[in-house]
Amino acid sequence: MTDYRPLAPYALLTILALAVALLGTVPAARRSGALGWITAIGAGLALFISSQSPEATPWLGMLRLDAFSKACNVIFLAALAIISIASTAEEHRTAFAGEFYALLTLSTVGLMLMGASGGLLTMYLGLELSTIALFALAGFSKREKRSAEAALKLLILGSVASAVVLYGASIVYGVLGTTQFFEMSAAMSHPHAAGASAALYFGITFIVAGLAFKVAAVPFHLWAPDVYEGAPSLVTAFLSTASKAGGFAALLRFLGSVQVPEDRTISTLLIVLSAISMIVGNLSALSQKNFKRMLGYSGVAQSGYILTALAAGSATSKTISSALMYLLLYAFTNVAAFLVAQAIHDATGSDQISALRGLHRRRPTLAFCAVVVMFSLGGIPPLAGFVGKLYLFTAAWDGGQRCLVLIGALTSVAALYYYLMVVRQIYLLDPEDDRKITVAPAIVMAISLCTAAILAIGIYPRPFVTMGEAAASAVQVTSVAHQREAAPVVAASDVSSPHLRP
Amino acid sequence: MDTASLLVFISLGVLTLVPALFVVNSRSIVHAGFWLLPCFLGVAGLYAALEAHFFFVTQLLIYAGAILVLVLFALMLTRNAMNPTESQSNRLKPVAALVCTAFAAGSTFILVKHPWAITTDTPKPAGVQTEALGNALIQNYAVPFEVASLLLLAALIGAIVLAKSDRGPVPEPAPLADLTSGTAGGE
Amino acid sequence: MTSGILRSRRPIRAAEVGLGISITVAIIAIASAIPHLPWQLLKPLTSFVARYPLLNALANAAMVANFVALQCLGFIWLERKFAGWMQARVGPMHVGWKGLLQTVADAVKLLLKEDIVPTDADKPLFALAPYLVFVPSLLTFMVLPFTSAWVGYDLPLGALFVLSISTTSILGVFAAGWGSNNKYSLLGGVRAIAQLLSYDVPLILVMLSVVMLSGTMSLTGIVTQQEKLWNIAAHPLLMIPAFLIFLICTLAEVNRAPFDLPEAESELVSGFHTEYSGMRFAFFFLAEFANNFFSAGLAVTLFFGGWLGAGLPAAVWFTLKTLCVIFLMMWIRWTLPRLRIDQMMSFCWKVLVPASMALICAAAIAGVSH
Repeated sequence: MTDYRPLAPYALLTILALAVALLGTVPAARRSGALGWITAIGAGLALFISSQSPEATPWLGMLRLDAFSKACNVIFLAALAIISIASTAEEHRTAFAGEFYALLTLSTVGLMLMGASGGLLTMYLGLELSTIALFALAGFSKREKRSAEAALKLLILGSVASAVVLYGASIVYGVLGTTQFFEMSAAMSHPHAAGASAALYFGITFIVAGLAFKVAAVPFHLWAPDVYEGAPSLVTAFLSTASKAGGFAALLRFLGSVQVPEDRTISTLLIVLSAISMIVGNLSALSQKNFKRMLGYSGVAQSGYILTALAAGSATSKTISSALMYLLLYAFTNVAAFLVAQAIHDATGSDQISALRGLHRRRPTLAFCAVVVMFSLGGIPPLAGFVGKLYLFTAAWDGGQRCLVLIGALTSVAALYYYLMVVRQIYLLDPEDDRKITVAPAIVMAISLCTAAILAIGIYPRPFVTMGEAAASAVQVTSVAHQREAAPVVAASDVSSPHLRP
Repeated sequence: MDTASLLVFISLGVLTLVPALFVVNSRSIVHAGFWLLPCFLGVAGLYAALEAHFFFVTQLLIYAGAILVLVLFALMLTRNAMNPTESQSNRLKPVAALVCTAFAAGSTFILVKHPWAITTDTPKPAGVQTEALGNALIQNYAVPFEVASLLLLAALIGAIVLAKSDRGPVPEPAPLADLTSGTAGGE
Repeated sequence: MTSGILRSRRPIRAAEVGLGISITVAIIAIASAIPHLPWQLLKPLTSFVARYPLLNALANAAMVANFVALQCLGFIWLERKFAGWMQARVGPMHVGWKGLLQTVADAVKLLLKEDIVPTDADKPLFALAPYLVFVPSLLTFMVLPFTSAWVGYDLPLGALFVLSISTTSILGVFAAGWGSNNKYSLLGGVRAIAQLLSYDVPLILVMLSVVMLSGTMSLTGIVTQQEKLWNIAAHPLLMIPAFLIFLICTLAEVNRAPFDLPEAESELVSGFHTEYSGMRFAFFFLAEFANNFFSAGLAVTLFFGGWLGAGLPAAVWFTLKTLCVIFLMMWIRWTLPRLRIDQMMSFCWKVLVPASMALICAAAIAGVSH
């Protein structure tokens, strides 16, 4: 008998999405921001349940609800909760408020499924669910042409990327005869298996490429700046953090549990992705005038940093835990950055970096938070960004990717330039317009929450490191344990293709 | 593979691929839509040749029946989308063709070289196959199956949000009824 | 279709009732004679055909195609007569005895008519449309079981196949509506697609509930499992509403009144086939009547035990039952006024779909408790 309790957070979020969509029909004047609070509370509740629920691998490992999926849930649900709180400021003006939160929640469910996937099927469906909801969210401000452009770009390129994942998955299935991650490892180590053939690498490359689109790594990053710029900032905040974390969660699951014997191909692929992401992302960000666009390129570079750890392989548990931890702190930092963009846009109607000019005179608290965020993105101690980057690069160094770490360190220095340019605008220049600006209290609250989290992680990272390490060992331990007992499970997978069997 | 089934496979392949070419090249988007029909039928034929009965029928029902009709229906309700003078390519066409050809050649080379595990078992009868599929969908594959429904829900909500106008109150008869009931009401 | 009708306002005569009864008796007599005909004389031919699978398939296809064409001749005549009686007139009278050959004459007329293609038409689609409509309706007959042996191809997934094939005919309607480049045709096409797609949903759900109770998707299997009791009698609480929904949906699927909006004469001239003439028009006409017969046959298969029945040969039972359903459909057609399109759509999505969903749940419960 399957134990359904670990599924409670997923069920709760699904019900939440439906409930919020239905509550959206209540006239806006009578609900005054309630939907966002309901979503945030629901997300918090789901987070609590997820952390309390037992571990399980229901349906022959179709889902793996373990420490790794719980750690991922923390990232996704924290992002969902904070963005929902910030969205309450906009709620009375949004035409489809109920649908907004419903789509956001459904997208989170998809991401959580990616984190908990035990096979290609669940991973792909989670990917699709999260991306499809984001198509509509990116086009949510319908009166702006750029928003429509963002939605269209995300739709077309996102569909291509998911087709690429699907194509790769079909080849991998054809070679190995299973879609379950741990059965794949078993199939590869099987004495009669065709082993690590060119076709298998071909398939895996496609899956990695499709997921690289999701995390916006070069050369699959071209959508990111345009979409980040055009989509509403609240959506971009989700897109650049939770959605990216979802892509990384799937990559970590896939590469962490499918260990190709004596494999250099995949790590070479990741090294290339990582190196050019860091270089191209940081260099392109240097010349940006638009704040959101700059954050878009900075996000590409940040993906490159995280990929250094992945390129170091899943041999050490440190790589997985450092990547997870970086994703968590990056979620807080980048959400805060885009919320600042939203606040500035509300006040001045501009997304340019120059709109931040003299913010310390116009709104000191917001200026302080913005500077903390920029410093954290730049990796300045004692903020979370520093700890995370240090941990990440140490893991990559220990994993043997010294060259990548050097590139990462050098480009980080270059990156400091554009982060500090923002700080200069905020603190060193005098404003053209001295009047105070008003920021919605909900946004202030959300930004403060993020800033507090950034400071907390920077000063006392221990619990988060522990969480990451538990997650890392969950991915790896089960992979070893499963290799021994994987053989009898094959029967489940031969239904869909009567002609192909390993 | 014996000659007869090879012949069947090749003809079905031609039936799938040649219309697919027309789909991407046709200047009229309606014609492109109609070229999809033989393409889908070819894929259905491939399923039939593999004796995957359920997939054969589902391919007909979902693709040839529902999806194609929805595509065309959406075209009919979209202004100017059916203008037949749109070119389907731009100046990057030769480059794209080159890249695609190289990629196709490379992937074909890799995929043909692989020693695929092919069973020679006779396929199970249709009833058995369908039953196994149904059992799989409500047992081991329950999660993907249910997530697929969530996915459709998200797509539905998203489509409504994007398609519905947010300016002022929504007009009472939906666009569809608007167009079709233009001359109705003369009871 | 209105040619050769004498207008008169008088009540139905006893003679006409007698005519109907005598025709029925004649059909039964002929049909019962069919199994006793000297079929063994054809043995050399059939065994020759059976030796070559391709020839066999061709022969089967030819038989189905001819059946569809021939049943239409009788069907159209019946429909006209019926319409006449309903409206207190006599129907076709001039060509042949009681107008029996009127349809043949009309067919000849259609064959001889000029085939007109509008100048601005989308010519390939205009030409393709009649076949896209006709071929699917022909294909559905492939799996319709007249008896356990008289079935073109006893597909194990017959019920699903029927649904999938019949939806593809929408494409032909679209091609006709779009290809004619005429606003009435296009409006008719839009209506037809909206209507067919919408009414497909409850139709599929209702068929699914029958399939769930039968435990098979093969049409012959569904009939043989009704050997003890017809479905409609075995689960009356479930199956009577199911049959009603099925009937309504098939009326909509075959574009018959009160759901004949795609070709509503009073508003759209003739809907999606306004611009068609000659043989191409005949194809649409043929397809419509073929669909009608098929839908009635499917209703009999699903709810009324197909060919099962005592005394008469199986094929006769099937034909008789089908004729009864056809008469029911004609009765509805000539009695009820046409609906408005928005009424029709909201009726489908707000009444039929929820009702058929409820039926599925009920069928699942009934299936479990069995």
